[in-house]
Amino acid sequence: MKRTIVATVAGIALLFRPLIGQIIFEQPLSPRNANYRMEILLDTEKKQIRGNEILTWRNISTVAARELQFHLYMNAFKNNQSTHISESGGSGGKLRTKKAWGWTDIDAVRIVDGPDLTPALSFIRPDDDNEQDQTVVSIRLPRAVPPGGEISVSIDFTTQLPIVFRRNGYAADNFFFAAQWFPKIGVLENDGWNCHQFHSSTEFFADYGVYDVTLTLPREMVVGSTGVPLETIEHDSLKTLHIRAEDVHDFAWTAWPGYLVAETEHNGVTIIHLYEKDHASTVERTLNAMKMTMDYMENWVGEYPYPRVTVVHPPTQAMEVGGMEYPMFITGGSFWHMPEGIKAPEMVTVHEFGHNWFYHMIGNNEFEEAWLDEGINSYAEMRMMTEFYGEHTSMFDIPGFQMGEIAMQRQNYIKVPRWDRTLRPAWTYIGGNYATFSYGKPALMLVTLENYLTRPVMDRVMRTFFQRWKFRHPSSEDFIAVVNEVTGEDYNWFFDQLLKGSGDLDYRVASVWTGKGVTPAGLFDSDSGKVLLPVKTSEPDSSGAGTEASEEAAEMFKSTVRINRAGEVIIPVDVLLVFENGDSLTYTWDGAERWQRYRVEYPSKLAWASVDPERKLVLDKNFSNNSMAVTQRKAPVNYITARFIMFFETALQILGFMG
Amino acid sequence: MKVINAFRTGLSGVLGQKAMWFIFYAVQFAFAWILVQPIEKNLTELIGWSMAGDEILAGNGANILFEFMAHKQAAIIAWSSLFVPAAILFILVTIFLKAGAVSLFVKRESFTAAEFFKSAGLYFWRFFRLFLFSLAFFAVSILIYMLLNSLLKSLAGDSERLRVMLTIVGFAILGFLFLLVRMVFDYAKIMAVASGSGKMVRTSLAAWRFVLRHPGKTLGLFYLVGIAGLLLWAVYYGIGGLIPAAGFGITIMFIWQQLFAFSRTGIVLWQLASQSALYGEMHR
Repeated sequence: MKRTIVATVAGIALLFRPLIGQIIFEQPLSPRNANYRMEILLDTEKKQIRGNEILTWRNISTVAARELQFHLYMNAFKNNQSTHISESGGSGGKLRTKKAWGWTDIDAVRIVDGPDLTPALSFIRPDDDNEQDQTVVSIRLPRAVPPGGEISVSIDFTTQLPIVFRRNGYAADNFFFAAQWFPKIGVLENDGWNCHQFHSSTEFFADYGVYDVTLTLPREMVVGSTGVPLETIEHDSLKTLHIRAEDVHDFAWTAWPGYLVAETEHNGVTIIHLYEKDHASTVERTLNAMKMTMDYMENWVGEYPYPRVTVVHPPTQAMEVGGMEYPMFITGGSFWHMPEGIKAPEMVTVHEFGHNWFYHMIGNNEFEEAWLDEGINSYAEMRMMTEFYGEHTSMFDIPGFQMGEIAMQRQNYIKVPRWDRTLRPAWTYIGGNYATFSYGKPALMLVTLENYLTRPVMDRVMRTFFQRWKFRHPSSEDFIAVVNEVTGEDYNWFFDQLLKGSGDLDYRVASVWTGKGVTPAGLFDSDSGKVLLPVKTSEPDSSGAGTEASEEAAEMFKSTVRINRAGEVIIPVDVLLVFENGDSLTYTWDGAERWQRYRVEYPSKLAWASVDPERKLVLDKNFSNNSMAVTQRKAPVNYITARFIMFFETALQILGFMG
Repeated sequence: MKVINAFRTGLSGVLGQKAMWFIFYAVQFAFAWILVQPIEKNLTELIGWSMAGDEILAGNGANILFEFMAHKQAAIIAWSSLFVPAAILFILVTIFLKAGAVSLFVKRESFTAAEFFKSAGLYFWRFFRLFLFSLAFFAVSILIYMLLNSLLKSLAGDSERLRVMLTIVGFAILGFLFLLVRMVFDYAKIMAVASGSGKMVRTSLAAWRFVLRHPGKTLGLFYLVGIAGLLLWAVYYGIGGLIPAAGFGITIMFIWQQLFAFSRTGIVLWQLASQSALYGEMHR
């Protein structure tokens, strides 16, 4: 049983503390090549974490490791010259006082039972030439670790937590949140180390392993973390927690005396919710969202194999740590008495818990291909929110305003559809558009792909991708290969345009016309000679709108519709012609040319035409031009205009209040 | 009794001056209509021939709203630059009209266009100076609110519940101060007309003295008329929500909105008329 915590085994195991032992899972789920045993102390006075980690690392690449590279993420908050803070405008925000900045120092490092490596430490900058950046450190090894070889290093370190900043740090009333807080080894790939600096718009990349953590802190602290707590020993004013996580690639934790705890079981998984007392009204909403997400993701792509997950709602003084994902541990957010119609607590819960499939179990490189987790997970979020809370109400459902997920995801993208491409390192997006091009655009791209392939086929794609690549490090090409394999067709044309390209997608109806058409006129030969037929015609006007035929009694009407491809992206698209008698005709256009004309003769006048009538191409930057009616449709304009008049009258009356 | 009498007198005063009431409403509507023209034009371009507009009528207009903002950015910026001068002009016109209205209410004269506009012109600059003085008091109100707000925040500490509740209290205090300043300067206008004085600093101070000496009556009357406004608002939203956003319903909705706007203008005039009556009664 994967989910069984074998308590008795755990108890015995505690005596020996085996690092790679089978305490949670009978069989490893991952390669487990980066394993940490840590003994740490939280110093609440100095806001420091001090301790030792023993990293046992196995080289699973095909090249020898002559050095080890470690992330020291917390050094991004050491000063305003770090790459992270420089990229975000050089302002450290509230990082002002000496105690506000954060850093990690490696106090000593040695090979276990071997030589001291501290002199071999040097900071490196693989991404830029910023000499001030200390977020990556290299340790030159006296002897290379060959492929398949293993090394254990012991690192004494001190981490100074910053005042809560970028989802990390300490806040008033002894609040602590520790993410990216320890020296963390990079990933050795066949072409060398992949260990990027910490940028302002990047997340993380790491190998899987076992984290066996002993954490000592004040006994009044309520703690939440990655992994499963195995034992708590209280001594004087302190307590020591022994926590173990298997087959994870990160370990984060929080401690605060003010947390309240809600606990429930679902599908054999213990769901822990840490929240502050003022968020009591959203506890049920959060737990329900967790359960629904678990059910959906397990049915859709694969099982959540861990016995436990913790969801944290941080208190007011530490709101900034909300909305983040870690293995088996996520942060959400809410407010006191958040109205039911505002689905933000649900959305953030669904999104962050969804990351436990796409980011955690699918361990892609978030530095280089952020869309593989943020985009895919936003797509998952879109599907779930739509199913759980309704297509048009999944974000806002309040009197006078409703909004669904797709509209929300589109709103940023349609402003800047051609600014950038999705597939690029996360720190290189133009103008801080990381979120638009790694969340919104790829999520919309995947909805578009789903609509093109049909949902059952897309479901097979997603399940195959997840099952094949879980606990590994897939790339974009691996995802595309799965699409091609499942569909049996080459979809590179799709990804070349929408993932690797920066073109926009915009189909529009350029003109519609309907009428009796041109009746025969002029001179025609007959037995009695040339016969003159008088001219009776109706032509399309210059605006593209139709003019009515002069003879209503005509049995057949001619209609003309012209569709334009105004954007660069070419995707086959449906075209719908709807007639006044309610009949309709549907065509499919390959979109290859810039325009396509449809001429039909039908026993009814054309009422309107639409390209992509079902809105399958949700990346289309302008839905408004996807349809055109023969006669002007005044009601919606009048409706909004009336509301705006009322709005302005109210605004003016408020201004007049001063006069 | 003086408050109730003033309340009644004010109401009958407004009902007896329907032409003036209509002028106030018509000016407000005209400004709103001018401001809405660029929006209507851009909306027509965007959805005037499109079936997408039907989503708005169905209550699913979020996509169209975002498309409007994305594809009409230049128009929105241009429109924004129109709004500020229009707002300033509207305030000036309101001051002008109020000068005419207060004069008729204080002197208890029936409306004639000639008398109304003559008084409006006569008192406009005095009322304008009062408006400038009132800005200083509005600024002081904001300052008091900011100081109070930081005090309330420190009282709330890290309690989210207290923060929210004290934020509401802070806004309530700001609202009270704004309404107080507005009421005091209503009395300043009334006193300016009643005394015929051109010394507006002195008139402002006298108005503050009057209100502070009779807080029960002045505030009581102000909020009594305010309650009538709230009732009107409740009726408007209660019935307005039942009107369907389709076909002839849109026309009904527009008429209903304008009836509300017209009535709301009446409430403003009712306040001025009843305050004039109260001031007159207390200085009889």
